Amino acid sequence: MEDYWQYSGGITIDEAKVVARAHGFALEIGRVSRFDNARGVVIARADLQGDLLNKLLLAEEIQHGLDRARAEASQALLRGLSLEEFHAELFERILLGREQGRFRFLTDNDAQAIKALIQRLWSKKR
Amino acid sequence: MRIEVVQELDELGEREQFTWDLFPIVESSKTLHLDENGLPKAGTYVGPGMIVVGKIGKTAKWNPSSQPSALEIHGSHSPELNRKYGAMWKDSSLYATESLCGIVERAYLEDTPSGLKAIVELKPVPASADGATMPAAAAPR
Repeated sequence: MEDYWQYSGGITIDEAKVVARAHGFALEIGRVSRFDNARGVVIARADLQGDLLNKLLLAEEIQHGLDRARAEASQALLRGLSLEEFHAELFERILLGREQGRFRFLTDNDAQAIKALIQRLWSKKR
Repeated sequence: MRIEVVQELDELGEREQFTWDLFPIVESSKTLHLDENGLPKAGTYVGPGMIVVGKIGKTAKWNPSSQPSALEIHGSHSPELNRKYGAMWKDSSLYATESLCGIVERAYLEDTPSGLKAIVELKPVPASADGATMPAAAAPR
C-alpha cells in the first residue's frame, strides 16, 4: 500500500524480536507480513531490506496484535472502512500507544513521519 | 529413517518455497512444530496427519493484483480467506502417515544443483492407537 521506507528506517531482525517480545509477541519470518494468532508478529522475507525490518511495518504488525482483543479489523470491515482509513486509524492508535509508553523504538522523527503518513492516508481515503 | 523432500517447480515454473507459512490454505496452528524453512524442530514427535516438511507453490490461478489486504487478513476468518484466495496456492507439504512418523532427530536443507532439498531424519515410533498421541518420552526440546 505505502512504501514505509520513505517514512522510516529499519532495525535488525534480532532487535525487532526483542521489541516484539517487549510487547508480548513472538516475531517470525514468513511469507505474508501480518499478525498471526498462533505465531505472533509475522514478517514476510520479501518485506526485509537485507537484515533490516522497517520500524513502521513492525509497529503496524504489533498494533494489529494489540488490536485483536478489540477486533478492530472486523469492526472496520463492518464499518465499511477503506484500507487507507483502516490504516490511518491504526497509526493513530500507534501514536497514542507511544504517548502511553509503548513503541519506545519509534523516535520523535518516526512519530513525525507517522503523522505525515496519517495525513497522506486520510487524503486518499476513497 | 531418512526422508528427502525436493524443491520442485510450481505451476508458474517458479521454485516452491520451504516454509512453515502456508497461509492462507493451512492454519498456522498446525505448523507450530516447523521452523522458518518448513523443517520440523528436533525432538518433535511427528504423527500421522502432521506436516513433516512445509512447502508451498503458486498455481496457475495466481494473481498478484488480487491478494488479501491487511483489513481482510485481520478481519476475516481463516476459512473465508482460504475460500477467496486459497486457489492461488498449492500446499505441497509432505504429511506424515502411519508408516512415516516418529521423533525428529535432525532436519536441514541441502543446496543441490537442481534446487534445495529438505532432509529429515526420524527415529521411527509407531503411531498410537488413536493415530496421533505423542509418546510420553517425545516431548519437544
